[in-house]
Amino acid sequence: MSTAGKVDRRTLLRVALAAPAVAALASCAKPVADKSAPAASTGASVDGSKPLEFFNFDGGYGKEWTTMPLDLYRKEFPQADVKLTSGQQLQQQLQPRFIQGNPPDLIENVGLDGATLASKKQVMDIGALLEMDAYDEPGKKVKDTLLPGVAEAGRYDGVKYEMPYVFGVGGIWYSKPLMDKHGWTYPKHWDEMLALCEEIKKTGIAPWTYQGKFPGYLTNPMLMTAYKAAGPDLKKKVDNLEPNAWRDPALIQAAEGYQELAAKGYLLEGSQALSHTQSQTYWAQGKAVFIPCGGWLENELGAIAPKDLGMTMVPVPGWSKDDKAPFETVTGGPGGALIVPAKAKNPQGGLELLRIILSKQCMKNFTEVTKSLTVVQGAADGVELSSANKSMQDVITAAGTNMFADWSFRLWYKKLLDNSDKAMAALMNREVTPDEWSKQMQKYADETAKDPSIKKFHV
Amino acid sequence: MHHGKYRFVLSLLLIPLGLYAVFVVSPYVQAFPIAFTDWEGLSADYHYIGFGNFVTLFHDSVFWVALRHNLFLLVSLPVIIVTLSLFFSAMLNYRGGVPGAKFYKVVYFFPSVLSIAVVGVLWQFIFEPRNGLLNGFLRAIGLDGLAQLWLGDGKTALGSIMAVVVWGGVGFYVVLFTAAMAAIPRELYEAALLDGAGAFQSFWRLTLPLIWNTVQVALAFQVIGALDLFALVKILSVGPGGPDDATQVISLYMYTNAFTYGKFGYASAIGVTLFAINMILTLLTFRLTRRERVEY
Repeated sequence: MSTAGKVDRRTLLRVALAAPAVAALASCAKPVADKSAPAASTGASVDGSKPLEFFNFDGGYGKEWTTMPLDLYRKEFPQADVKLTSGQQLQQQLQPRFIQGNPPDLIENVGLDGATLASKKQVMDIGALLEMDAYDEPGKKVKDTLLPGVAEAGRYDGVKYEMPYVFGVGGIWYSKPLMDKHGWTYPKHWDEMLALCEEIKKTGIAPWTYQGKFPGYLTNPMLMTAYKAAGPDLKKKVDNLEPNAWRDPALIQAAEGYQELAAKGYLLEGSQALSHTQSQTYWAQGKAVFIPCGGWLENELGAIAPKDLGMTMVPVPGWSKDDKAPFETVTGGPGGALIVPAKAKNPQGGLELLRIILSKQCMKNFTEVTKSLTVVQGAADGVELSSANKSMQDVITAAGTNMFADWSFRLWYKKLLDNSDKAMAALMNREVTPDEWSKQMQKYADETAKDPSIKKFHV
Repeated sequence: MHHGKYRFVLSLLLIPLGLYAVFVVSPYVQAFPIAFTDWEGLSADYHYIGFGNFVTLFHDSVFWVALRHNLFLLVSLPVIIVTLSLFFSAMLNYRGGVPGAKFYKVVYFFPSVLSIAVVGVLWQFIFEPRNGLLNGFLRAIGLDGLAQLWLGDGKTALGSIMAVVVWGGVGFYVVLFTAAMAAIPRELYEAALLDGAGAFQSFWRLTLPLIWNTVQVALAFQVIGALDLFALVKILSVGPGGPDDATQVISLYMYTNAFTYGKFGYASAIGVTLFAINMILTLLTFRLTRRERVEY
């Protein structure tokens, strides 16, 4: 999911680390080499007497949802000592355990670099799970209960290492009542967007705001506008780190378009320095009309959102009527990553718990508790959905096959992702021109391409 | 008799020293061999690559930006903080202490009581560009033109963080210097007064030389502090370290490499380099500020 990197970074900030970095380094003892990478098998049975540990990321979705699957596991294996551990600093909490060789049996991973774990064979190939019987749907295999694309997601070089559990999309949010009140309609192309911004500005409301402290929130929309103008080839070139991919005219023109938001005063004043909570709060208070964000926005706003906000998500505008990809294209799909460490003491138990989590009852419970959609078909049936979730369902339906997880470089190359955020900040602060931005991004991409210590993937 | 005493002292020291060796010294030492590997921090699989990390570091433009910021802070922060603290403590001690000196000392010291994370979060609200205290104050007194993005603008970001460091640091040194000044015998001032020295002269000729040892220690602390600044930059800055590396410092870059980019070997190399710079600068500070010790 496109959110993984951000959730990680924000939670780091929320907890406001005070320890000096040297102390953090102190926690790492030098490892002893030991190579093994087992794969799960359908045949192996669970040893019910072994203890089981599930490490939950106590962030956006909390830990309340874990109670049901853990209880079901306890019911199935009454002798097992089932333990839930929770945390937000996975890197710091789990890194020593990975190195010592006693990681938990199942991890809700937000924070550990999935690409590194996969390339170092620290996680188990869980492809066999897809062929197992579904937990509470007799006659069906796990893979038959999942939404399209879920079985294919979470693979590195074709091997299934990660199991997504939520299903979300990213886009632009607005308040429907606010738009209706002024008779505004959401534009499909960027020039119309700028025209609407001019009109909005006259009413004294700011047209846009974004999470300036984490500029990456705006990078995705800008890339999507470029994507719609240039078509899928652009993404392929950028993701494969091809020479001059970032010099593409579609990217430069999108950068020009988004910089206009800052240049013409269409941003809520101070946006560049606002944290995600601050900007989102102002947006919910109606101080700005549009904000980019993922599907977790409603849950994150919580009680801040007025009852009549009528949160609505829509795809990012395209560039013009000559666009090569449809306006409905969105980033999204299966998200989140449940992983079974290769060196876990009870990997079969971890896999069994994963099978339980993917059951219809547990995923329905997940949607009820977290207000988020999941990867299992029909799991939201009978759950009353909010306007935000309904609009996301509409976006997903309209997108059809025009949906992909994210620009892959953002998932594969953390340093390039980080650098793209830096460049975005410079662009929106108008410290660089769109052309300079594209040159800088090309330089960053070339650095990544040349760095032998970074494992490369291809689309 | 003596033999028994040493054994007693030794046994008392053994536990804290042992803990210190295991939890402080040994990880520090381990960073050195790790700096010569390509370890990514998540597996037991790594290779020694000689000075590879250090060569990369030498060509890493972000590292140089961070180093430049650290050096700038290193020169400016001690000067600002020590000057301000000396000024405040001299004022508090003026003619044996102004009325309410004790109260002021407590007020100055207040930021030092707060944890650095609390200070960071507090100032985040002060710098908030829309409803923050700072811009709110500027607008309230009609200086709308001076209202800034502060942390969001590359031109003001580093200065804003420096202001927080000064705010948080001055109080501690005020207390330190006031204590040192209070230890100076009163007769010396009386003698100086009789010789016709004014307040200004007696500060330069008398107070400063007599508390120079304390100032020296303060400067050494400052040098080490200016090379760190990890926590404040991490909590306050955009990105963090931004916008666009405007507040990047070595310690944060080390952290980012280790925990975001998964390059533990490289991060350790940064740590080792930082250690070397730290050692050199601390020794230099002591050497440059060395003066004849005045006995009184």
